[in-house]
Amino acid sequence: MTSEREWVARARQGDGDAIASLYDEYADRIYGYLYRRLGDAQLAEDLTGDVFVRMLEAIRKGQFWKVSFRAWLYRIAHNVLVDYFRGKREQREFLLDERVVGALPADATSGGTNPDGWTYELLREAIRELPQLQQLVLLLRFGEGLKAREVAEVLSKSVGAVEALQHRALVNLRKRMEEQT
Amino acid sequence: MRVGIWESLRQWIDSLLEHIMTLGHLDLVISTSKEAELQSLKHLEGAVSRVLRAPVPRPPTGLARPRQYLFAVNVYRTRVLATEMRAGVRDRWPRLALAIALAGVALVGVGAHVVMAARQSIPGQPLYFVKRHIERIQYSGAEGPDVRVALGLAFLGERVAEVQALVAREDPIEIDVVVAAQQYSVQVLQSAAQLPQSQMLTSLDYIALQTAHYLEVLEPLEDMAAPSNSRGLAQIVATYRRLEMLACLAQQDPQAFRVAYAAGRPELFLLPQAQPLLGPPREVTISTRY
Repeated sequence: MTSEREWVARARQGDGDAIASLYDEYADRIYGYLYRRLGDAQLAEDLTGDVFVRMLEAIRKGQFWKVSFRAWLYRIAHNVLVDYFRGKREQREFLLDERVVGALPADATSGGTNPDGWTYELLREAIRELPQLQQLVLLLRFGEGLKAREVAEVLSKSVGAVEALQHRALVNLRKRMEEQT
Repeated sequence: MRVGIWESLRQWIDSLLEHIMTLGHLDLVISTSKEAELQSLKHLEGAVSRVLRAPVPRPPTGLARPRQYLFAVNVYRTRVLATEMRAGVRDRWPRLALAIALAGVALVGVGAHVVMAARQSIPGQPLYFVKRHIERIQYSGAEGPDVRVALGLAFLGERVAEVQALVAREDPIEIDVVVAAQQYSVQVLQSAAQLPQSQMLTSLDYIALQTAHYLEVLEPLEDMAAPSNSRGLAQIVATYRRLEMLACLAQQDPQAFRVAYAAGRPELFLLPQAQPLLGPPREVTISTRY
């Protein structure tokens, strides 16, 4: 039995320590994911709370994950975002907010170049120009470090579809980068 | 003929092998190209990962607030209370605290203004009851009989000032003013009776002197007062005179004064009855002989 399963089992009984363990383990990651999608620290913080409350409610109802707890939590975060945008009647055109630029690595913002000759800033712009689903797959795979099957659970797609989306996104990116340089 | 067939077959096999070799080379070229492409994509993945994993700014509360919210949901078993709590933490509390603080400041400001205005009020004005109420609170909160003597005399002075103002404005002297003066005059003497002997005598002397001073203000008013005020003014003057005389008399017989007033029975220490200089009028008979 994994420690997550233990925590979840105890959380179901209302054990505050177990809930705290789950929160402390994943709150930063979920907040980071939400912030990258929203670009608003206050809002990302609020929605982080909503994600974990939904998690707690789901645990109480006896709902569990298929692939991994982490993927399940990201799926909840994804649904919270969908509900938020639906409630706001607001559609973000881009995945990455402008304000995220300020948080990029130093060499990415100061015009640092890759051995291939393009800058990270250029790459960021190229990612922003990708279709939203491809951006999302890249964010979950390379930003959040999820496995393909975990991304598949988050997005309710097959693993093959996720791999195809990822490949297409990378090929598109490379093509755009080559066009730029 | 048979040799020719075998020769052509060998040539065909050679060409086939050569063809296969060519295909193998092509496959090698293709596999090398695919490997380069994969290498390129792998390299791109690293760069994408670096861009997307850039650190994000920490939230203002360092994720403590969602944690509290989560625990509230866990404790209350419902989102409603927890949401109120979360909203309260961020939005309502600062506003509520600010509103309470502002209300407190406003209340203190208004209260101070009312007290100041009430101190200047005279009978018949709306804030006069506040003045009397403040006096009662001050008097009941005073610690020690000596303080109560001083306060009582100060309030008697207030009554004098009020009577002065009423006479000047030709407003009627309310019976409440007379009653208040009478009450304070009794209370002042009762407080003095609770003091030790030496202090009691000093206080009684002070009461007599202060009351004499008040009478110096009040007595001239009797000539100025409107006819409607003469009765009220006369009662006030009589009250102060009585207090002055009792204070003087108490200095002459402090024991009797203490016994009466310390026991709360001022009726035991009365002023001597005024003796008529002449006897009852006798019937005048007029002699007819004159």
